[in-house]
Amino acid sequence: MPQPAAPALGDLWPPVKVRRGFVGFLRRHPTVAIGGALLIVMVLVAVFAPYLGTVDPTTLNTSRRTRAPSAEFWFGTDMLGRDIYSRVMYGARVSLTVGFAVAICASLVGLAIGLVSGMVRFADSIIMRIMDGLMSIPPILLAIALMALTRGSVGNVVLAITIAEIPRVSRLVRGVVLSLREQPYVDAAVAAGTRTPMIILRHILPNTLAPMTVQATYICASAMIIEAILSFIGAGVPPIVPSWGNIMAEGRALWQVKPFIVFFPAVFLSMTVLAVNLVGDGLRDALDPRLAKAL
Amino acid sequence: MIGYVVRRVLATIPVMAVVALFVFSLLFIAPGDPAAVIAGDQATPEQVERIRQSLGLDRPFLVQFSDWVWRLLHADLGRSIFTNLPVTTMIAQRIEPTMSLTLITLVLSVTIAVPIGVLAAWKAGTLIDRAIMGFAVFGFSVPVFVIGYLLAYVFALELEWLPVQGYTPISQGVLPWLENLILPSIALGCVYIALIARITRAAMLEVLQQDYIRTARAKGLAQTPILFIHALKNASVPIVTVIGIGIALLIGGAVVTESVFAIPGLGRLTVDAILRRDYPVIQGIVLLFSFVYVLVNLGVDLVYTLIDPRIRY
Repeated sequence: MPQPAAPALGDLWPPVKVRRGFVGFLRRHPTVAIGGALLIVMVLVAVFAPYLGTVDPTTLNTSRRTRAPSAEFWFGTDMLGRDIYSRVMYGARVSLTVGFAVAICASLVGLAIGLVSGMVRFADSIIMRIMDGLMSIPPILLAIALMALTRGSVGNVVLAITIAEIPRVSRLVRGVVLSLREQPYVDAAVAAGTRTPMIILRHILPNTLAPMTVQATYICASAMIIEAILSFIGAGVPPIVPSWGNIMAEGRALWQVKPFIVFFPAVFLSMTVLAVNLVGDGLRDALDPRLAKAL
Repeated sequence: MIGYVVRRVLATIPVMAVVALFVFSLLFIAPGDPAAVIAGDQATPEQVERIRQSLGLDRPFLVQFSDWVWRLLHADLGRSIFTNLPVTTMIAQRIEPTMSLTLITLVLSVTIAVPIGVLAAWKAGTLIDRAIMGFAVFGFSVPVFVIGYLLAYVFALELEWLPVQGYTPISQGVLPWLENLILPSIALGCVYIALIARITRAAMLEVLQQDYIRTARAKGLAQTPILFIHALKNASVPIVTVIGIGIALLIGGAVVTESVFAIPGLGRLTVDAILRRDYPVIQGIVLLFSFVYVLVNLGVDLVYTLIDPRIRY
């Protein structure tokens, strides 16, 4: 939040009681609290999907196809008579798995590549040319091209989106590393005879964590959207897997007459991505005040 | 200046080379026999063999690659496995709807996003600012196909203001062409608008704190010229940059938007190609889009020198 140009003096004086600890953090950053709460609900839904009054999301029943939402089928049934409520609840598993897995994998690989690029001069230009090339392929298309070559499975979707996201992380890490290694405390460490691995471990790595965490939340959000898009256009997880993108893909042909098939997974997908983005925005404000001002 | 332009243009060559190499080697990086990968799970050995022959996959990698690049330089992207038409022909048939969609979205997004970003920066901290930034978070979070269905449901099915889906070529009249593209463009533009508005606000906030803005205010200049002439012009470099980078979002989103609104463009071609495992077509589309993306960002870099004379590399 931008500060007013000249805060009145009165505002400066009263002793502000800053609540410390976790609760205090959440109070000062309500977006993290709201997004985090939403996200926790989604994680609980994913974990306890079998106990939320769901039936087997893959059970076909052709006698009750495309029923509208009712007391019996809360979200209605799809073209094959499957219970959409159950499918949406189980779908949280796919989205969250893909989101978190991609965020973790892309961060770790990107961190490694970025560190090498930032620390090793001769590798830098080669790695960055490759990353420039990869970054010129729009991520969704890169993921589509990769998925076109492999069998649709959750693992392959994670892999494809991870490859598409790595260049951005490594660029970020490289940038941070390049600015960190010019810091006086790194010079001091070098002068004190600290070995390079130790400098990386003690002085460089910890300082990349804050921007990395923020970036990881955005990757998580983007990965969930890309997963849904891939599944929606038929290049993602196999149709039998209840993923939000798949449910929407099944509802696509009928959406003008049975919009509820598309509606419920769409709401859950949007809410989950929103939750992750809120956490990301809040963390960005909290961890990096300079960046927070810039965005 | 000319030196910079030449250097910048030359710098795109290695980038395009990496893209080409990557897109080409994908087929070989993927586990298993490339011909079998393309042929799919249900293919007979004869079909696999035929694909191997027709794509020349039995030759050494480097021979294949140099041959492929050579044909690429002659604008030959190979032939579709499914229709046996040249990929360039298939792309040419489908390019108009996609170009129309992305160009309209681009124009629409920039004309909406930049003013609301300026407004948010001007009214920073107020309810207007919060509302705009709140919208931006939603724009980032709601996937393009969700917005697409929502818009189509409200404005086409319920209100019946606009056609639900489909595409009319511009040759059959500008008005029907526009009518069909309004909803898809808004749907596709949401995330792009959110992105540009956010960066515009950030860049403007930075500039509005500068001394020359205070001077402009002090000499009694009206708000509008201060915002749009003094501030926006100086804030334009990051804005133009993000407009260029954001093209990737438009390209990726177009694939989905075309599916939602049944627009027969390159996105539909991509989806069809995936379902048929028509790899040469996918390869061609990825290359084309990446090429466009690189060119757009080359253009952006060249525009820098026009908007900010201080930039001389």
